[in-house]
Order: sequence, then structure tokens, then C-alpha cells
Amino acid sequence: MSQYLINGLVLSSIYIVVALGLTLVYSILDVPNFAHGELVMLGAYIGVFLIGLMGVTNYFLVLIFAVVALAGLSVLLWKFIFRPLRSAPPVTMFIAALGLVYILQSAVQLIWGKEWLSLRSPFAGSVLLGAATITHTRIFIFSLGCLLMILVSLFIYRTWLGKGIRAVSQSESGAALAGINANRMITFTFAVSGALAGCAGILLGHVTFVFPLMGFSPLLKAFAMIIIGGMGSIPGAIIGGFFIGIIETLSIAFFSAEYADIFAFGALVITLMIRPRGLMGKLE
Amino acid sequence: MSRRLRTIAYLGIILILYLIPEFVRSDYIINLLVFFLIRSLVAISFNLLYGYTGLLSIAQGGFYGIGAYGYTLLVMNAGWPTWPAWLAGGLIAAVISLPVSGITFKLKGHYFAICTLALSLIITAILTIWRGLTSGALGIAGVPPMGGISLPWVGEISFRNTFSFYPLVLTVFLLILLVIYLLTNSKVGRTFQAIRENEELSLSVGINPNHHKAVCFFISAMISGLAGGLFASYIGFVHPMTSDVFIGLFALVCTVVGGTGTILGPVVGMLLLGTLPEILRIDPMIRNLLFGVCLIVVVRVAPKGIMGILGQLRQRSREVLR
Repeated sequence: MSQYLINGLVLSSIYIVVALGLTLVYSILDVPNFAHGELVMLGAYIGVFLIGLMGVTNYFLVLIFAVVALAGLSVLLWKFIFRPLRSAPPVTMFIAALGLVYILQSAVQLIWGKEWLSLRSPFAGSVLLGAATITHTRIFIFSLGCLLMILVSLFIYRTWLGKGIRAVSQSESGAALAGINANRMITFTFAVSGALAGCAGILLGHVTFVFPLMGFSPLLKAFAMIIIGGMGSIPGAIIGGFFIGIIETLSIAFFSAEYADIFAFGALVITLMIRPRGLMGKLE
Repeated sequence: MSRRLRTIAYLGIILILYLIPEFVRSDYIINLLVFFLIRSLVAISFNLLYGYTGLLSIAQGGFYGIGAYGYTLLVMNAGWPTWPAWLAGGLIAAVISLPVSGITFKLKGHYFAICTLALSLIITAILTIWRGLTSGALGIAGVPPMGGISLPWVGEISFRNTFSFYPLVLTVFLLILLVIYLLTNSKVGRTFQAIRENEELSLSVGINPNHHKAVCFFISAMISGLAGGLFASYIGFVHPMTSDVFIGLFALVCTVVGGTGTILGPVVGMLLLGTLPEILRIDPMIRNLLFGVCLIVVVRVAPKGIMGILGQLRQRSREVLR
């Protein structure tokens, strides 16, 4: 049981990092970025490429490279795919993001094939905690996940840039009147979102396999998290994240892994039924 | 083109469609056409929801799976004759759509899309878990084909192989296309479009949007369910993946590329994106890459899809001719 709970918490800390990127873009653009899961997948592949094929030994260099590369890609996607669609109906961006899912997945398949690869972390060894074994990798993942949650919260609520992003997400024209360059803020949000996805991809690669469809499941879980927590809210994403993580863990512990989806997505549907803006979402 | 000429042209096309197996004696091609027609029905049902009423539903794969399992279980476990079981499978999918539309009534835009996506995943999960009924991830093999019918003059027809099944699925396809045509040109269809354009405004002129959305969902789920039943009877095997969410997503891709809110858009999209790559034997990875490019190009330059481009070309040629 405690083993389940620990593994569940570790996995949900990765999913929360995914959810934070998703909710940031949602808060500023009101669009659920369906391609976010593929950015996570690309992050993991960059890790596999650098560590497994290029033999890069400095782990933090790999992590930083994945973060920078995905931040760049995310900005490019905003500039060339999403921005030209801003005046179109909101569903259009949703469909374009779906197109990106197809493109990124098949591009990765063309380059790296369909094989299930693994991304080994540099942290060997484990500690015993009661009946549960915790590998050092999982401790690292959980700490980095929590650190990112704190950093993103501080960034959004305590810095000048974060203030600008919040202003644009509340009212773009209002922010423009106050002298905030909305376009720059959105670009920046996409960069942060991509960076988080790149990091989450590397971390996810340590606990699951790396394969072209690996981004879909975390994306769906991240959607469940941010809808329960409230779309566009950062504390909401964190609370919703741990909520989904615990629900999943309990359903695996008491029933079986197949029930996890029913409970997670059931919680999503129930939230939308009784409180569509989620726990901490803003009123529309 | 005069009205009579156009009717004759349509009847000619329909005749050619029925005669295809006489000329193309390839099992492979007819098999592809059967799948094309079945999957087109799913795209048509998606188009009714999104193209006409503005509801971006990703749950169509779920209803397709429910129809397939409904047919299978009613025939194999309850011992129903195949035809009533097929219709009942569609009806079960439609009845399940009622609580779904109840849940999703209040949701707008992408909230609606995400909620239907979640419901589709829940349907797949239930089909996997309910082992006593669905035998879980093993699936159910040996689903009996549609029972034969005897027609006057023609005699007994069975639907046991690809060549005999093709006319059946083509008939169902044409009938549903006709229903969609009549529906979308009726008052109800125009009400759907009013809701798509502006829900508040349609409410203010005395339309009940929720009621009409539920009707639209009901019909659409039934079409998907009937398509699923046809699939199960044809392939003889059902599996939780029969309700996979990618079936609904693929219906979306084909409809958007073919042209949303047009009768033939989803069919054209399915032909180009679903069947043509199979005939040309394009590698699935490259095919998926093309899907993505098509989606982005379409939303960027031609929001009405291929049918929209064709419509513009026709209009331009008319202007030139004048």
C-alpha cells in the first residue's frame, strides 16, 4: 500500500509538471493545447538521444538542453501555428493542435522508430522506508517536481513577468492599456510551458518507457487535473494533480489498474457537471 | 443543371456504386470499400454534431463501440435475431447519449470536447472491466454475420462474405445519407444551425437549445451505433478497442478536412484520408504526418475544407461562364 502511494505520488508530481504547462497556456489563450503531451514525448526522446546515442554523460546538461529545446519549439508553434488562428473560432486552435499531435508523433516515429526505449537516470540505489522501497531516481523526480511547482508559483505570483502574464490572461486589452506587450507575454508563456514539458518528458522517461504515443496518457491526466483544479489556475493544477494521483493510487490498490481511468475521468466529468470552473478556476 | 438531369446523374452514380463489385472482382478493394462506408457513417454522425450544431464531440468512437457490443451481446448472449439486434444496438447507443447530453449541456467549446473525450475513455474502460458481460480485453470472437433475407424475385440473399455484404452496407449508407440530407434541410436542421451560429440568440427566438442538442446527439449516437453493429457483424470480432477514442478523433479529422457542415464533406474526407492511403499503400507514419499537415492547412486556408474549395471553384467557374 505505502509502495503504491509513493509511486503514485511520484508519478503525479510528473503529471503536475505537465499540467502546469497546460494550464499556463490555457490561462492566457483559453485554448487547451492538445499538442502539449507531444512536447513531453519529445523531451523524453531528446533525453534518449543525448544520453543513449550521443553518450552525453552530464545529466544536468541533458536536462537543460531538453528544457531549452522544447521552450524554443513551443515558441515556434505559437508563432507559426497558433498565433495566425487567433481571430478564428476557438475550436479551430483545438483542431490545429490535434494536427500537431499527428505531425509530431509520426515525425518521431520516422526518426526513432516505434520501439520502446528506456531512459536510465544517473541515480542508482534506493532507500527503504518501512515496507516500501524508494529508488533515488524517484526521490529526485519528486523533489524536482515539487521544486518546479514552487518555482512556477513564485514566477507567476511574485515576479514582474508573472504579473504581466496574469494581467494578459485577465484582459488582453486592459493589459495593453497598462503598457504590457501581450504578444511578448504569450510568447513567454509558451516558452515556460514548453520548458516544463521538456523537463517532465525526461522525468517521465525514467519511470515509464519512451515511445511515440507516450505523451497521450499524461496529457489526458493533466486535463483531468486542471479541469478539477480549475482551468488556468496554478494552485488548482497542483491540488487537482495530487487529487487525481491519490484517486488513481487508491483505485489501483483496491481494484486494479484498469479502474484508474474510470475514477480519474469520472472525477473530471463530475467536476464539469457540478462546478464547471473547477475548484479554483476564475469565473467567466 | 436542371433538376431532372441532376436526379438522373445521382441515380446513375448510385447504380455505379452498386455495380462496382461486378467490375472490380478484387476482394481487397471491396473490403476497403466496406470499411470506408462504415467509417464514413461515424464521420457523418460527427458532422451532424459539429458541422450542423457546433458540438465538437469526441465520443463518437464510444457510441460506435456500444453499437458493436450491443449487436454482439444481443445476438450471442440473448439469442436475438440479427436484424433487431443491430437496430437495438444503435438504439442502445442513442439512449446512452441522453445522459451524455445531460452532462454536457452546460459546457461550451473545448470544455464540451474534453468532457466527451473523457466519456469516450470511460466507455472503453467499462468495456474492458465488465468482464462478465464483455469478456474484457480478450474481446469476443465469432460474432455471427447479419442473417440473410429473402426478397421477392431476387430470392435469398446472405451477407456472409465481402461481396454480399457490400450492397447491404451501401444501402444503409445511402439511406442514412438521405436521412441526413432531409434532416438538415428541414426545420429541425435549420434549428441546429441556428444553435451553432448563436445559442443565446436562438434561445431568444423561442428555440430550446438543450432539447435540440439532445435530439442531435441522439440521432448522431444512433448512426455511430448502427455503424458499430455493421462493423461487428462484418468483422466477426469485437474488442474494447472497437470503441477506441481514435475512431472519434479520426472522424473529426476526416470531417474537418472534407468540409464541416456539408453533406458529403465527411465522406470525401474519409475517402481521401482513410481509403486512398490504403489503396496507395502509403506507410502509416507518413499517412499520419499528412493528416496533421492537412488539418493545419485546412484550418489556416480553407475553414470549409475540400467541399468549401470545390464550392468556391464552382462559383468562380459560373462567374467566368457568365
